[in-house]
Amino acid sequence: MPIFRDLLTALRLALKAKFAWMAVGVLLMVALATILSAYFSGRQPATVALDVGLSTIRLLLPLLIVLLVQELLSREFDKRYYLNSLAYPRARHGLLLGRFAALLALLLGLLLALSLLQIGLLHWLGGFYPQATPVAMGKPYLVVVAFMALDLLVLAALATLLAVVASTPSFVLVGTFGFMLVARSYGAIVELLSSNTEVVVNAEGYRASLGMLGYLLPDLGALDVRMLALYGKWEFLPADWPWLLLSSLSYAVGLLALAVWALQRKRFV
Amino acid sequence: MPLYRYLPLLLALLCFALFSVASQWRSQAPTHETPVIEGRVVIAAPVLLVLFGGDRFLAANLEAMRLATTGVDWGQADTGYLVRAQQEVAELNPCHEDNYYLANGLLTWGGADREGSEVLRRASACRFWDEFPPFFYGFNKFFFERDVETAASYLEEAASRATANAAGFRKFAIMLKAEQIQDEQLAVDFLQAEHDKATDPKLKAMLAKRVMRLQGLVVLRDAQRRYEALTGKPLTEPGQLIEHGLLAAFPEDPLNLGYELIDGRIVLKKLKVAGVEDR
Repeated sequence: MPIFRDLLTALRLALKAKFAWMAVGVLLMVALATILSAYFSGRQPATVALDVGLSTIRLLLPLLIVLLVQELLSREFDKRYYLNSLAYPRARHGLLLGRFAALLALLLGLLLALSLLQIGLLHWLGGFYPQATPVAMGKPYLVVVAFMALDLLVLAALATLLAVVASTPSFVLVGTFGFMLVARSYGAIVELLSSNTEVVVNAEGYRASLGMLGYLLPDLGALDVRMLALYGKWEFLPADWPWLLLSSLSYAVGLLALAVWALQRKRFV
Repeated sequence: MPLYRYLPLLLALLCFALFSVASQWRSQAPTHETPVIEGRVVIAAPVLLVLFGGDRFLAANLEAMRLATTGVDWGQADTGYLVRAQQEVAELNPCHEDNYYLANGLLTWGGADREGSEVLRRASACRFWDEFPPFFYGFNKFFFERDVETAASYLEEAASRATANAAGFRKFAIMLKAEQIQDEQLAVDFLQAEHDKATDPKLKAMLAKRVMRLQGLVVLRDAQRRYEALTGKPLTEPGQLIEHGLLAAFPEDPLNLGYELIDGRIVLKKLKVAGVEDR
């Protein structure tokens, strides 16, 4: 299993790049954000704590993706390690897929640890004030985390593609965050502009052209189904969720396939 | 030594000198008068969304924290700011519980009932299981706008969602339709109950002011009723209450907004917020 061997190498590389410390930092930041935000809410401290905690995770994990991809892929091309790692008679895609699998394993492992941490914290914070609408940390929370994992998968695939095609590592950062910002916000902006017409001139035309983005980018904003866990009502799950999952998943696999194709054709100089 | 070697250096010095002179000249030129911005800046919801990385929930939470902590200074709510800020939060996340609760407590009873009610209406639609937003909304519709039809339908909605209060909401809706309710006393009771339940001392103090304001209205309307029973004529001038000895003095409004007589009915005077009062 050459991919498996690549995965192990990549894991060792990530550990060498102090992944453990980064993970501890993320855990600490999320714990702090969760606990402190609870103090700013009068009637729903647990809900706000969970809400802000999820937002922190959704902002910090993409940053971690970028750092890991820069470490595992960009550095490989930047420092000409490929002279060694791709020199043997072996397939190029093995290297890429092995590293991507390692990235995914680290990411999902950290996401799991973060969700366990949140469950523990919310159990503790939930005892502060009896809310009329308590948070749902069971099955609904699981669904929220699963949707978030899919969101991260899309971003990881995009960062991988950018690392293969871009000539500088910083483009991975700029490209991934730019993509994230647009893909997460355009759906909500289209919706908000229908009532907030004074923000831009010709709001209708602006809305229509933003709506065109729906054919180019996956709707990552719709993957944020946290209202399920915040208010514990299944009605907040969008009715078209199987299509949403399918479109995001196929987009991620498509990006990954594109990355493999680009690496096969990459001319190293 | 050939001069051309120093040419780039001389050019650099010349350019920096030019830059310095131009900057000096600019700073001495009279500046245009900057327009005076009244009130605090509130960013529109779509822009906030982008500023917070496409995360509407984070934007709603942080804005709600900001308005809850900074919209209230020295025990006085900055209503002009809250009116706009709470609308934006309601657009980002209409389900936000703190937002609708604060809007009902501070806006509706602080002179901006339409804006407060709008937040409640959105909350009522989003929180489809919660009985309180439709109840507050229905009550406000009746109390401020005398819209019995809408009020009764929202109270029915609250009753259908309620777990323990269903009978009370239904009874209230029926009484509204029968128009035999002394709404100001009821409003005092509700606001008093909200005040007693509040844990934050600042919020408690502010709600206490609103209770006092409503108690003033109770006193005035009571005097009006006695005046009309005494003289058999409708009240046209509030001063008549004092002339007839029904009141020793007009009640003090701790919010300094006061009361007014509109269409033969004493009501709470509304706050005039520039740009929003005529919507």
